[in-house]
Amino acid sequence: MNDAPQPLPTSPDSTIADGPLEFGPYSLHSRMIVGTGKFPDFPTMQAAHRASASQMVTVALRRVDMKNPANNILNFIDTQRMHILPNTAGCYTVDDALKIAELTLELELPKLIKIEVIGDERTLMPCPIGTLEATRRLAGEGWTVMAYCSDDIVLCQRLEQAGAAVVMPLGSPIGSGRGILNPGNIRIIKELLSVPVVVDAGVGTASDCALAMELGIDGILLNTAIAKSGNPVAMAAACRDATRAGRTAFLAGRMEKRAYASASSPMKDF
Amino acid sequence: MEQVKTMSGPLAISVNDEPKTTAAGSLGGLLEELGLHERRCATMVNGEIVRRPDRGATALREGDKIEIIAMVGGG
Repeated sequence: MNDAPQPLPTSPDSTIADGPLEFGPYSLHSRMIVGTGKFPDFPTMQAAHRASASQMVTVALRRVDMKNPANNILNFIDTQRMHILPNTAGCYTVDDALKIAELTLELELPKLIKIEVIGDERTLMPCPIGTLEATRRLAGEGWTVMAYCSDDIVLCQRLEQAGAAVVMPLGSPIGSGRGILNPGNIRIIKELLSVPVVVDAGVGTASDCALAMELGIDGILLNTAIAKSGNPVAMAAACRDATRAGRTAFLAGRMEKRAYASASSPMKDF
Repeated sequence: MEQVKTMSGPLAISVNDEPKTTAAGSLGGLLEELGLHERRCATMVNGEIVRRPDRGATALREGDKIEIIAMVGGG
């Protein structure tokens, strides 16, 4: 008789089927959108993008640096695997945002844009009024608008009504790394809106991604957490895994929290 | 569109807020001079967008403010 221990059977694939993140003409299998700012160098940025498995990356539009005109970020973005999402970072007015949109078309990009109209220079908090107006104008002109905003529930509803294809409430201020400060609001926003909700800004590390996705949101955009990590490539992979883990946990449905204990094994017969 | 050629000497203009002297007579010529004619970029002259097909025919004048915009990291 063979008493050697038998290897355990391989457990069946326990992941839940999940659809893509869909908005406008886009269908993304990765629910993580990444950025391009604050990286130590372009090759590191490109390696981090690969490790993230993200399919969308956001860029800003700025004047070419005339001291170094050949340094072209597009040489380090894998456009076969990632859609480019231009944003209006740096805009304080609706007119500025609309100008960026015009320039986006000159750069041979499609009518996809992330609206960022800033209201305060120190905190980089978005201006709700400018964001709403810019969203309304561009959505009315056929743009797929992703609107970056605060976690105000009514504002998020108004942005959807104004034609935003995606509403993007912040987790905490840009680059602050403080995670999801108001999960209650994010959960309510997701319940009330019909368009996808993608949390943008404030993610600091992998667990923030998991927590955000467990709230039931459709996706997450993060940049500083990866770019300013001690090891951007490793952090990109960690955030990729955490985003998937949080999404799977949400779809699986969590256990209920209880005020008191609930024993896992029988309390008698021992 | 044909390139515009001026008969005057070098022009003093600014490119992205930096003073520059150019021998180019047109916006298209300026981009070639700067080595940016192949680069995916947007151009503005005195605050107005000049589309790519029109660059060759857009004459430069003394004091013109040129802006050349591209995608960069950030946002």
